[in-house]
Formats: sequence, C-alpha cells, structure tokens
Amino acid sequence: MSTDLGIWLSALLSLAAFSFLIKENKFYNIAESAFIGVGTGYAFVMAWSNIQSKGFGQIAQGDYLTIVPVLLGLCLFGKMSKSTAWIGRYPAAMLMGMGSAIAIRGAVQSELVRQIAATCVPLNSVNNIIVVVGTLATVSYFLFSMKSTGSQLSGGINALSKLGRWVMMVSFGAAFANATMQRCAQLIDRLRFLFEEWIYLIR
Amino acid sequence: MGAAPNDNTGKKGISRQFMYLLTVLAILLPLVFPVGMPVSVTPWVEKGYQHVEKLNPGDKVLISFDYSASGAADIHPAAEAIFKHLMDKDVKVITVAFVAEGNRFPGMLMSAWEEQGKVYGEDFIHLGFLSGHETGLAALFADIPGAAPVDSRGNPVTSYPIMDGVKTVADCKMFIGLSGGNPGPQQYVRQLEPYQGVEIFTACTAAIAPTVEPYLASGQIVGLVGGLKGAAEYETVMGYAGKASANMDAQSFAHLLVIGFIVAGNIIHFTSKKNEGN
Repeated sequence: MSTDLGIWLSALLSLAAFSFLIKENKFYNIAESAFIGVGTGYAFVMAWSNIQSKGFGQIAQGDYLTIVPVLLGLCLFGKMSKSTAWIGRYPAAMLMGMGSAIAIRGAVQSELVRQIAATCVPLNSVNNIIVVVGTLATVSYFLFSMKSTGSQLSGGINALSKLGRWVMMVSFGAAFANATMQRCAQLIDRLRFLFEEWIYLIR
Repeated sequence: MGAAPNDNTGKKGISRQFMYLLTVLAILLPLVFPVGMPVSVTPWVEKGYQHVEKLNPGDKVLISFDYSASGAADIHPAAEAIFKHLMDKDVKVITVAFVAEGNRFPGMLMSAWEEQGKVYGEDFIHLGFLSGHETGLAALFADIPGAAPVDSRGNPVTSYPIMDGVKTVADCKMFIGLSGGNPGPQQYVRQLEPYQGVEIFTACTAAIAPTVEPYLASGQIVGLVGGLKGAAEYETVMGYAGKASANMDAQSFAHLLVIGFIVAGNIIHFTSKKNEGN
C-alpha cells in the first residue's frame, strides 16, 4: 500500500465520490465541494497569472496600448452593482460582437461551403449513397414550411424527413455509445489508480 | 440482491447498486488479470499517424491542450502517444492551452522528456494558458509571439531558439488539437480556414469524436484519435503498448457488460409489457 500522502488523499476523495452510487452522503458532499473549490481556485490563479503576464507585464515593458483591454476588462466589474452596470455593457458588447464575427468569419467557408462540397460525391459506392441520401434526408427534416400543404411534393418531403429522423437517431446512438465509452474510460482510470498506485493490487 | 424496486417506477427490476458492482468487476478483473485482447486500428488513426510520420526533423508543430482533469482519462493517453511520436521524429513542439486546467499537461509530458535529454526551448516550449477560447485561438494563429509574449516559465518566447522564424501558425506544419469540448475540432477548423497549408490533426474525447467525422470526410481534418480506444490504436500503430493499450481489456469487458445491460433491459421491458397485457 502506498505511503504517499497525496495518493491517500486522492484515493479517499475518489472513494468519497464513488459513495454517491450508494446514496448521497456527507463524504460525497465534501469531495464535490473540494472538487469545485480546487477547480475554481486553479482557474482563478491561471486567469490572474494571465492578466499579470499578458496585461500588467506588457504595460510595464512599455506596451501602453495594452491599457485599453485591461481597462475594458475592469469595466466588466461594473456589472456587480446596478448603478454601475451600464459601464459593463461596452466591453460585453465588444466581447459578443467580436466573438461572433471571429466565429462567422471562418464558419461560412469551413462549415458551409466545404461541407456542402464534401457531400457532392459520385454515387458509386454504398458509403457515398448513404452520405448523400442521409444528408438530404436530415436537411429535409428541418424544412418546416413545406410539410403540411397536402401536395405530392410535401408528401415526398414528409417521407424524406422521416428517413432523416432515423438518420439522426442513428447518429445520436453513435454519440451515446461514444459517451458511454468515455465514462468507462474515466472509471477505468480511477480504478487503475486505486488498485495500482494506492493498494498495489495491479502490477 | 438482483431483484429490487426500480427507483423510478416502483416495478421490480435489477438494482442500480448491483449493476454498479458488476461494472466495477467487469473493469477490475481484466485490469488484474489481463487477457491481451487485440486492438484493431481504424483508418482515421492510421491516417493521422501517417501524416505525423511524414513530418521531417526540425519541422514545427503547434499542439493545443484543451481538456480538463475530467477529460484527461480519455485524452491524455493519446497526448502521450502523439507527443512520443513527435519526439521520436525530432519534431519541434510548441504547446498552448485554451482551457485553464489543460495548462498542467504539457509540463507533465515535457518534464518526462527532459529527463531523456530533450531540451526545453529547443525541442519544445509551452506558451501557457491563453484565455478567450475561440477568440484566443484566432489571436494566437495570427500572431504567436504577440498573443503569447511570455512562456509558461515567464520568459519572453522570442528568447528561445525554437521560436526562431515562428510568427503565425502558418510557420508550423501541423496543428494538433487535443480537445475535451470547447474549443474543439469545430473551432480549430473555423479558425485555421485562412491557413490552408497547416494540417489539422485532432485527438478528442470519445463523446465528441462523432462530431469530427464530417470534417474527416471533407479532408479538413487529416486524422482523429477518439478517446482511450483511439489512443490504444495510436500506440498499436506506433508498435508499443502504453497506458491506453493496457486499459483496452477492461474497456472491452465494460462494453460487453453495457450491451448485456441493454439486452436485459429490453427483455425485462417487453416481458413486463406482455404480462401487463395479459
């Protein structure tokens, strides 16, 4: 069995977290609070060191333009009081506007043009047929304006959208299976730690 | 022990605790008594490996460690395998983290390689944590020394030989994104769109791996290592058995058990429905 205090602490906290599987209890609550506290503390330290090195540090070295983002960042604290909340709207507006613009800039080409191009494939293999039909069927599921007109066209789109629902269910199933696989990996990691590094059962 | 009231319906079923116990046993027994089940390599892992293999000694690669402690069990083995591959090929590695907790992982890998003779600042460098997620990515790609003027050790990045000639991400041959969510493959592809010469290779948690498939099909991402299984595949194709391969028996048995649970659950559901009908 390990004599390392850090491993003992980690092992006991792991067991406390696992105890939730029986029922919620004080040990689990302690582990949960410790996890949230440590995570928040770590994130705060990282953010502070980031501000120091990339904010104040740069100003101290003569990069006075950095004062602008630092001031805008400080303005966000205005939201802590109702009377000064308006000050925080300016940096918040900039954050949202710039964030959206940066995301949209690459999205049109990478997620629209290139993805459409990737579905324009010759129908010479089962895989390609599944890609093309599956994509069309899924997109048709989201055509809400043409489904209830009673025409032959709307009947065809209805049938295609039903297929689209099945395609989405298959993809959700794959996503769920992968999520299960990830949870298994996390459990394996913890059990390996407990039985390998703590009580030396695994060699 | 097996039959107990179901928590939601009050009907008789398999108790949750019994299922947890079976799951723990299904994982623990293969860990203690490994059977060495074979690991098949998927094409996307093979392709990713081949693209790394094509890199020349001295080429520069940017790696982003965007996963937290909760995702580490699934991604860190892949990070170890890919980092080992890059070190074996004498590729220069620049690392960064856009998730605060991800900041600690490059240091863990680098200290192990420093013990084996690799030099910080020459063979690899860690730029530290950068806030802003996608906007941070965009800023770094456009101006690496500008977005990260000092490294994780507090020194100017331009003082290190590895950073000679590195201005933007276009000066790197490849970008490797290790992601547990956001930023992830979608953000990498979006922000690297203007830099067509930079190949994107990603390792991510198994949960988000299916969302990467469209980018693989379109050629926007050259390879995918999905979760612990992907890491085991990467180790297999590299020809060594690391942490991920050692866990594959347990993973396989756990999956078999989950399949068993699903089958049993359906049988119980339909049998009880039939009995209710009668």
